[in-house]
Amino acid sequence: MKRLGSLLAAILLSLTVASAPQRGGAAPAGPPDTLEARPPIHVRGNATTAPAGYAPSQVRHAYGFDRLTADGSFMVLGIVDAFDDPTITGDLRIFITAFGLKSMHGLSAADPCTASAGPHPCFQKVFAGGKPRTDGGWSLEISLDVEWSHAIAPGADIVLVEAANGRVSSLLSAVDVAVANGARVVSMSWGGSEFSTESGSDFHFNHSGVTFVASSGDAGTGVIWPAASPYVVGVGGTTLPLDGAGNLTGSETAWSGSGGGVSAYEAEPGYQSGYPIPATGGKRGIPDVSYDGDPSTGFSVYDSTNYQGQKGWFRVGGTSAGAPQWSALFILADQGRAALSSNNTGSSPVYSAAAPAVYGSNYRDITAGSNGTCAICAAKPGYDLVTGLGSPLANSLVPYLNAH
Amino acid sequence: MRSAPVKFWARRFLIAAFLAGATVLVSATLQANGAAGPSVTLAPDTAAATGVRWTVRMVVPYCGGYKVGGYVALRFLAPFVLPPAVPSAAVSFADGPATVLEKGNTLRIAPAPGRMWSMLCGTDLPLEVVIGKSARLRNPRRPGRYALEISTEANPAPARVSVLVRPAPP
Repeated sequence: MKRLGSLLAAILLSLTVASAPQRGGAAPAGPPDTLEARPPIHVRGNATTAPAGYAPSQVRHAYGFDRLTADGSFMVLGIVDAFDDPTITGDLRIFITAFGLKSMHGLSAADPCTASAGPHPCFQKVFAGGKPRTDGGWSLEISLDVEWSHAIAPGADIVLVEAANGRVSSLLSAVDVAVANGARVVSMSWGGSEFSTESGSDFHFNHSGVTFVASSGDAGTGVIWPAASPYVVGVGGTTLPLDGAGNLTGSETAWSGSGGGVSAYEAEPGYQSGYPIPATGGKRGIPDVSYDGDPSTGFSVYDSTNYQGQKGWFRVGGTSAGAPQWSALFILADQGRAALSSNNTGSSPVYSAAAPAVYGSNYRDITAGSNGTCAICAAKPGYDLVTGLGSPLANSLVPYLNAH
Repeated sequence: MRSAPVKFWARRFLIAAFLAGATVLVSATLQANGAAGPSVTLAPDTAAATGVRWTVRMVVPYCGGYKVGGYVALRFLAPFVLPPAVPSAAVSFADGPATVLEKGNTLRIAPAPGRMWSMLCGTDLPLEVVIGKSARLRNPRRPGRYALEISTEANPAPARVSVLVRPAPP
């Protein structure tokens, strides 16, 4: 009977184990970036019915935008993304209402506008070619770019140019369309691995009177293009801890995902060789500047492109967040003056604003955190290959750029 | 005298309980693999069909790109058979061009170089890998429920996916 009892206990145990859910029964051994065992229809499970990340008022205060009078009026900010976001006008309207932001024209069929003819501020969507198909991931990107560039420069016109797909050629065609539509600043929250002929495509960003801004990557140390182009301002990522009012509750530090390093193909521009940046062997260093990009201190974004049941508010990050908001900063700086340019490789207003006498008032130097374990992977005082010159102190930086 | 029938019935009970446990185990495994994991759609999905389009869908974390490491690996288990060569032009990764490396009965599918990715981070996104008709994949001759193993470079532990092949129309 004793043996029988043991056998019975063993079987009961086996039944218990067998009944346990497979996913819950075995803890995943791999890193968080593993293949998820989820139904294919379970997408973006983090959508909520109320704003889930930082609000515009918090971020505007943290970076000093709330102390500026400039709002970007009559300036055109270009945003280039891939695929179509069919709900962007309605989503922007909800974002504006939720946070009490300045309204825009062009958000309904009854209130049409163009960036060139107004009325202003105007939101205008343009297809670089034919109408692209919808892509849920890029729709969320578009929502982030449009909503947060408006949050920083609420008076500016926004021209969203949608490329046919995510191929380099398609996106570069869309960049050309943005410039042709009068964009003074072009935001590019995208990038890809460097390629040996990339400098041959840099001419798309070589325009006097236009500033091009690109994300530096989300995978930690390493360089992506077009942020690597010397004609483009590359934006890295930070972690920005804030309280509800937008006051820092700790130091702003380098985000572990911030892309940065030394380009394999692009030559070091004069604005970097003339500035004390780490030795790069005559190659371009990335990024130039940085901005909050850590998803854990991410931004509230509304996206209703119904993606198999998921829509609403998301908290998102990535260096995607920094490109449109730095673009909006340049729009504010351009207001009331001839537009800045990013195509002068001899000197750059971004680096001029980091001269020793004004560095501390124009930038928040990021001196802690890292994007890897390599020799150049740690943030340090002054320029570093993780966060560049640092994040903006817009209340000083914008007037400085506007005056120089 | 009573111990023999007790043992007999106890053994019967134990065998029944063991079989019940095994049934629960099999059921749970199928549920985890079929309903909660990646999915595969065949078109056409009938037995012995040729030029079959395979669509593999999964949801993966996204941060400046799909966090799969370098590739998605599809291991075709018998009776599925891969043709000697699957051209890259027949395969797409996230609706863009792909590169394919065939190793035995496994295809390693990666995005082709030159692709630009959104630098968004902090959400899960669906990833679709499609093997088009021109790869000339063929369905098994007999209808049934067969298996495919899916893994990624980031997570080499395979997820087994059930693939239904229906009877061919008369």
